[in-house]
Amino acid sequence: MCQGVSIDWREFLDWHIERYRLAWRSLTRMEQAEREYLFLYKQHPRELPVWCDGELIIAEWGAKNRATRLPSSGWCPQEVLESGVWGEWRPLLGEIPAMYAYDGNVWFQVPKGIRAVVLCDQKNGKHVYVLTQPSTHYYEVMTRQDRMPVFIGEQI
Amino acid sequence: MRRLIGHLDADCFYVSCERVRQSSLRGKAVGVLGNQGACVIAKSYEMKAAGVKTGVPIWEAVDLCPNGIFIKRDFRWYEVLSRMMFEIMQSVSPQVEYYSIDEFFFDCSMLTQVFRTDLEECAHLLQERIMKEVGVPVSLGISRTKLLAKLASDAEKPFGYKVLLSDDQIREYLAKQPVEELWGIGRQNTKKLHQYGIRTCLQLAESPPKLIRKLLTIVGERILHEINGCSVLPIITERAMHKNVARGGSIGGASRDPKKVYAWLVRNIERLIEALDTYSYVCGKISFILSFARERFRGGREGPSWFQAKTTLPQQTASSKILLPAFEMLLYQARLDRPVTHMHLIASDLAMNGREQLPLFPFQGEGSATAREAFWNSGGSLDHDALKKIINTKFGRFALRNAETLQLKEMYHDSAHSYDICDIYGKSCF
Repeated sequence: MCQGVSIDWREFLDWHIERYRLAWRSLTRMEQAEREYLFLYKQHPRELPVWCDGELIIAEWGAKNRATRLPSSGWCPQEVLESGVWGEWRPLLGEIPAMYAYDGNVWFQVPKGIRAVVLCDQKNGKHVYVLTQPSTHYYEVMTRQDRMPVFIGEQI
Repeated sequence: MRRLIGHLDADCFYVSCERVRQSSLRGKAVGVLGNQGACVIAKSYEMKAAGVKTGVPIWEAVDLCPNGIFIKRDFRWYEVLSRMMFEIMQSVSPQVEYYSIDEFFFDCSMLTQVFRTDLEECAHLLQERIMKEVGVPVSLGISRTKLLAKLASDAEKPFGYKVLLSDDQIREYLAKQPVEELWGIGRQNTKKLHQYGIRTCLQLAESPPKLIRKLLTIVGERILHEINGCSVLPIITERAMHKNVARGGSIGGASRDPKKVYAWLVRNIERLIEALDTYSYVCGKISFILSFARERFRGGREGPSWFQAKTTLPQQTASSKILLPAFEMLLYQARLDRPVTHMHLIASDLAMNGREQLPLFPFQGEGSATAREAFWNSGGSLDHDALKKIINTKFGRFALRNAETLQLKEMYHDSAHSYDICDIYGKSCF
């Protein structure tokens, strides 16, 4: 399952960088390369940027605090979402503007972005979950993972 | 005036194509993966610097270059940019050879008139023009022969150019180039030349032709002429007739499932027939090769890692009615006791369709006499290959295909599989 994403620096306004304290996430892979912002599941705080209701927000990836009573993992299987099990939390669909994603130790290019689910807790805090589906043969060989994110547009 | 030949070669072409549509990839280590997602088929100079070689499995590439970004190949896009480069080349040269998707040989006689400056500057301006209009960096070599031009462009990579005109210039350049850098000198030939103390291109150029012919056959003699500035390899603007047409490759993960192997056979036959039809060929002989995953038998003996069989067809043809049963017969000769990894189908004894030797006793396959008669009398118009072609031309490649290939639904769901490097026609290299 997708363990991280990298976002093009152009996605964020200065306002985002300041409000969400993103400066430490800035990364340049090589001297000549452009800046990216890195969001990994293993990082703390565990966050993901997501377009939801027409605005780009940085939300908690999954729900660490059990008091929220939201699913604690950071992923939502598409089959589970479609079965209506998550209906009680009134899920909203979101889009992660990922440029690259990280899974099975491999960084790969994301065509247009990744679909996500956004849930709200009792205090109106937003939590984001990466929507997943069974891996294609290509994805499984590349990452050795049996689930892959639901990509926007073209699948890989 | 002596004719000059140019060689233009795109730098890390697949990666450069990806950078055209995704500028954020510039300056990063990028690897392009094959259709199965298992192997690196092209890499950027940044990834090369990390030690990643073409053909390595992705897990090795990730170990060597953990920050590298991997992309799925897209030959449709690469062809678009390749054709754009070809058009530019045709606008500056009267003769252009589309050697491969990212390499062109061309006649340089018009270059100084087109750019109205000296040859060195022309080479630079052509580079700049391709960079501006296509977005792909290229390296260029200009000299008296194809081989010298290619040697120069290869040695000046990336984004370099070299013009070699005078004897002194050429000799000085050849002295610096190892003999293995020459087009046509592979590992075995390099070994042979090293045994005779021939290590640089200049040493080869000064070697007796008799010795080179003995070591490298007539091909070596041609190389000798070319590096001495005597052009014997022409610019090929129209592809000569093939000796063989082949289709095949990996079967998407090792398998000994007869249904899957058969499905791949049918798919590869469909691709082979499509290629024969595109070139208007019929074939008289076929070969079939299976590669197996290496598996040790009990007792420590290792069996052969491949199976090969060939047959002569009852008549020269490009019809699935004859090719399918013929390849089936070859497949049944193979023992699928080990997982199959690759399959190759080769058509040889080629003739242009309509100019083939007609059989004394036309092939009579299974089916009613009436149907057979109708098929032969129709001149092919009732052939389902023709029907398939009409439908697929209208609705897309593989829209109508043999139901035996339903086994491969995973592959058909992925549109990248429907277009391969060999589907880019018009190249002179293969």
